[in-house]
Amino acid sequence: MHEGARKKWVVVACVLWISFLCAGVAATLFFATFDPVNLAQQATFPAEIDRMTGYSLGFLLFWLLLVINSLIILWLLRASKF
Amino acid sequence: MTITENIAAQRSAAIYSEKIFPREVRGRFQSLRSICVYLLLGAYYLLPWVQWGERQAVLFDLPARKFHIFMLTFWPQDFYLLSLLLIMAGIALFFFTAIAGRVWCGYACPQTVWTEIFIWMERWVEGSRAQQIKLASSPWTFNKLRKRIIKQVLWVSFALLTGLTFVGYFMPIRQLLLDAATFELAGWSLFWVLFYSFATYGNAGFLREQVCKYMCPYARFQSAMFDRDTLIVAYDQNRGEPRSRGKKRKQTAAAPKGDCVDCGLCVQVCPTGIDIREGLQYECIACAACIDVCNNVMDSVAQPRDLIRYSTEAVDSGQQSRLPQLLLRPRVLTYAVILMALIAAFGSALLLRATMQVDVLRDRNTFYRMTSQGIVENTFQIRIMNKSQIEQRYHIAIHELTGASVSWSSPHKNIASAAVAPGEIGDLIATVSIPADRLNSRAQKISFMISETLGPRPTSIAEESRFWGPTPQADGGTR
Ligand code: SF4
Ligand code: SF4
Repeated sequence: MHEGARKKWVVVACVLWISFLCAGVAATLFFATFDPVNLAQQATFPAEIDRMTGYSLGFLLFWLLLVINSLIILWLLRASKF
Repeated sequence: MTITENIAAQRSAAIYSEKIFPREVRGRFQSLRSICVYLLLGAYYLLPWVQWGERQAVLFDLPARKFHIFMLTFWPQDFYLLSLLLIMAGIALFFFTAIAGRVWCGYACPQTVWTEIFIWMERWVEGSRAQQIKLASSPWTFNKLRKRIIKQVLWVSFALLTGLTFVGYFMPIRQLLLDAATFELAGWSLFWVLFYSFATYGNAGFLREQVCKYMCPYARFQSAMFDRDTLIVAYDQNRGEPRSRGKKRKQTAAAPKGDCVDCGLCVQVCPTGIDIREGLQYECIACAACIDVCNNVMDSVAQPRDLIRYSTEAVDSGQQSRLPQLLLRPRVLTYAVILMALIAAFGSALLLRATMQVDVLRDRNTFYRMTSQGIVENTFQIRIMNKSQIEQRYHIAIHELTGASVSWSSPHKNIASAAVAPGEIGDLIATVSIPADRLNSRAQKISFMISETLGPRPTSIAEESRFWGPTPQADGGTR
């Protein structure tokens, strides 16, 4: 693997990993406060989910958002001339 | 290849990724690390199998929203305890880092511990460092294929076991294993088992030291926690330099020589592929492999040990002669005081934790009911969360409404106390009744007193609500 490709992989790994950790914290805080079953009942569309689904989707969603967030920031920083 | 070239090759390999092949080493610190691996991983894999009474001793029962840890049960309401615990863990990490540097990394971080196991498996199949390097550069023969397949089978099975155990902390592990064995694992449990297995495989089998070098915030953050008196793995520059090796060492017998025989072993054993003789580097995870190997070398050339050793910057620069200064430093004392305070807070919060929680809801459909005997009745839904470990019976009484009486009307009528199983929420109904002529306003404040009747220290909780009745007449009667 040449150096450029390797750097890219390091970036991807860092983004995934750090977002994963933060998503863990966010999901813990969120679901300690709210019960996904109750939230589903309040949804504006018919949603019926059990708790495991709620937790899992919640966590994955946090993770996805954080990854997108990190990638956009990285991209902006790379593309900007200070 | 000369040793220096060998080192250079390994260093550039480390920088531009080819894989690092850490050389095997025996010694005091490596034995200590092995003990840590056995203890920590032993605890990890066995803990979910421990039973406590009827249930799994450690079970973070997410579907039921309660955490069991031996005799304790935690509810979402106890979340602040978990936060305290995490803060404590953070301060403890600061504390130990200030004293002993990256002991966490070297001995306890899951990253290192699982990597170690994966390296053991790799060695077991592929042999020593030299054999591994040879195998890696050899063409694909049957033998290579066989070894690689065995290694992967071992790694993948071990990763799957790890993933299954992980999910076993969140769902009863016996059932989980049964489902897995009969291929009935499905849905999210299957997803998370595979996810965690994959993460284990990736981190411990594939990424290894790169997690520490590129992905770990703690590794970058350590300089903030270090000071001149923090224990680090260091090479004794004064004693070792100028290093010289082999023939040159003999030929220039007259010239001054350091004790370092430049064998390069400290670099070969290093899991992060650095040369400790260049001074402290952030890649160093303080695994002490280089200490052990160098001690072995010093033994074999009949020199005193500790050319590479645990030391501090202050000792190295001659400011301190020995290590007792490690503990009595403002930084360490500050962390210690904070940690103590947190432990005390956590302990007392745990001990004083309420054993019940009560919610009172009015019946929203009917404000009140009037019986033929002129008695006004209100019904209230009383939710009691029994946070204790025993089946508790609750007594209900009423205050602030003279002449009123209260009794449980569900689950059974006219019982003195209502039962709720340990760890459950009881949905109970209580009826409050009062003769109509005793009421003096349409709605008035009442206060329930709900009391535990069993256990060593029964407690009570007061909850307020409102009592509704007909509008009282001026003469004291009702309409
Ligand atoms: S650097 Fe990070 S990942 Fe590596 S051992 Fe230390 S704490 Fe663990
Ligand atoms: S320099 Fe020594 S202590 Fe540090 S990571 Fe390498 S072998 Fe371990």
